[in-house]
Amino acid sequence: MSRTDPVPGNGAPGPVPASSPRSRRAGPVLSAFLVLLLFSYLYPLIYMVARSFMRFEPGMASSGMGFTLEHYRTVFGGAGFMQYVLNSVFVLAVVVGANVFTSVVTGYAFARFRFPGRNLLFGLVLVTLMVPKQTLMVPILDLVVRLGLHDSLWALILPFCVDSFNVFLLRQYIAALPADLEDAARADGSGEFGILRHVVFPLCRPALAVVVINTAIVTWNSFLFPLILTDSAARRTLPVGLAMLTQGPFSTDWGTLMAGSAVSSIPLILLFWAFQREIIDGITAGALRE
Amino acid sequence: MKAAGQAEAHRSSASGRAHPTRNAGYALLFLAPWILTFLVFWLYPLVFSFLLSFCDYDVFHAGAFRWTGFDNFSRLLADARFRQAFGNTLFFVLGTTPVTTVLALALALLIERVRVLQGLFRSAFFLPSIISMVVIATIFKSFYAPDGLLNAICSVIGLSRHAWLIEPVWALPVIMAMDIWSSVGYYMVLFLAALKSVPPQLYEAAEVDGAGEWAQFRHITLPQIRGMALFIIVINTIRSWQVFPEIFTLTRGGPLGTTDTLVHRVYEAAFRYHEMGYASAMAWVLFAVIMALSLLQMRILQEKSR
Repeated sequence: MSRTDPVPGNGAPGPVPASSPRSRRAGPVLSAFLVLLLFSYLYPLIYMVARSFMRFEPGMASSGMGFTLEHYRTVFGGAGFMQYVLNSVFVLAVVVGANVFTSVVTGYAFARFRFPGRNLLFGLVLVTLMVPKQTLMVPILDLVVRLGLHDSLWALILPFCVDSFNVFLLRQYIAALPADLEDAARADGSGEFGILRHVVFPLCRPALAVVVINTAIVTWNSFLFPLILTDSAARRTLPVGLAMLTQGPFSTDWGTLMAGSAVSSIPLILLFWAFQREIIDGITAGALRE
Repeated sequence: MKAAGQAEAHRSSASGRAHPTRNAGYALLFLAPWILTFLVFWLYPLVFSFLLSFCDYDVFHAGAFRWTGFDNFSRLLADARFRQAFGNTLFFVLGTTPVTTVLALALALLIERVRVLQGLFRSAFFLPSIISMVVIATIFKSFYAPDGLLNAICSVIGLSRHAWLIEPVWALPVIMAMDIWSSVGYYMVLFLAALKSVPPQLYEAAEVDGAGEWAQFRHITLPQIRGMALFIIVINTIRSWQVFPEIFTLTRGGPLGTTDTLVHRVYEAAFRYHEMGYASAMAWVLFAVIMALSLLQMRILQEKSR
């Protein structure tokens, strides 16, 4: 690997660390490898979009290939994707909105109030973080059936309105904020609800951006619970609808499958395109929760 | 841990950070949504699934609980399909986690040295992490098809063509390859964050001492990111134990059960055969594995913060 700057402080103001990672460079071989790898990451998405618009019949001459919207017509028509989109959007909106609310309110209570059992309860938040919901799928299904919510969109919403990770994030964030503003508002006669709404909530925006991003991605892509908690095609979300499409009569109709894939993933890809830095930072913050 | 919490409470009251005017009744009100969710969707299912694992039960034809003691668990030990699924999952975990971790670190180190378009590389490798695994699996299904991309590449470079998802020898490995491809960027981003936090003075000092690049990696970078590396290995392992959407989308456990995994087995037992008690017993095996890994993770984090 080549070094760009073999002479320390080569004309630069102050000592430039010659071999800090910043001044090292990838050689031509590694650069070529990276470009090839980059292609392997972009190709599947390009293929997905291109194939979804491509008329392509095996055995046909290349003149038989061309642009078509037929796959999208199949997906939105017979395959019912319009309903899946609406279901996914509805569940996403309610779950994200609920999490914004519950994470602030719960985080505020844990960060600012002193009450007996607080440490124990917060310890439980941490314990629930360690248990993947997957392991509880059978009893949660049973509960949803008993509550009469099976095969309704509420089954995909109610269990997910409060998320321990989001609570944890907001608790840490609020605890690190100075309490002066809240105290001042209290001295001015604001009630707890007023303080929460007009003081705490606006200050929490950066942390709430992380909550919105993480919750939106997880909810949009959620698969196991929508699969088991709903039954009829009319209640499917996009991932479940797509998984069913890959197994039905369209299982090797690549154009239709790619159209379904594009519909399921393009919204998030566009969102990612617009907020790359925020999303990567948010997800990193999510993982580095200590 | 409790003692530390009390000490902290004392400190904060001593420094005037306590808020005696706050009415603790509000705390209960504000905590109500979380407490309710915890009780209804966490504690109750946990206890119920524990009880279920000692019963015969079908959710959809409710009413009939039959206490069967340890029958479900002894049946598990003798169940060839469960043992195969457990073995497949273990193979999946051992085959993906180390590869993903090493590749993620290598990519992070590599991408750090790229001056041009660094953001594009980072975003592109990360992109699969935000896309539904069902979408990724659907795209790869077409790549792995008999007339798909992988066979086309194999033909060009002179390797033999296969029906990748249909041949028992190949199905699980090609799913694992897809999984590595799709998750490596996520861990790469975490490694990048860890690499950024290594103090540059350490490298300067090493440079003065004449340490070569490998020595610097071995004695500075690696010890500095050790905590993150352990963390990544553990969360990656926990995730891999739960592999499911790609299995459901691509093979549903086939061919001949060679891609069957633990979560898929739980799903099949519960939703195809309606054996909820038996499914709960299996879920508890998974739960035990994951709890053990989580405790390991806590130990690591504590060690890291010490």
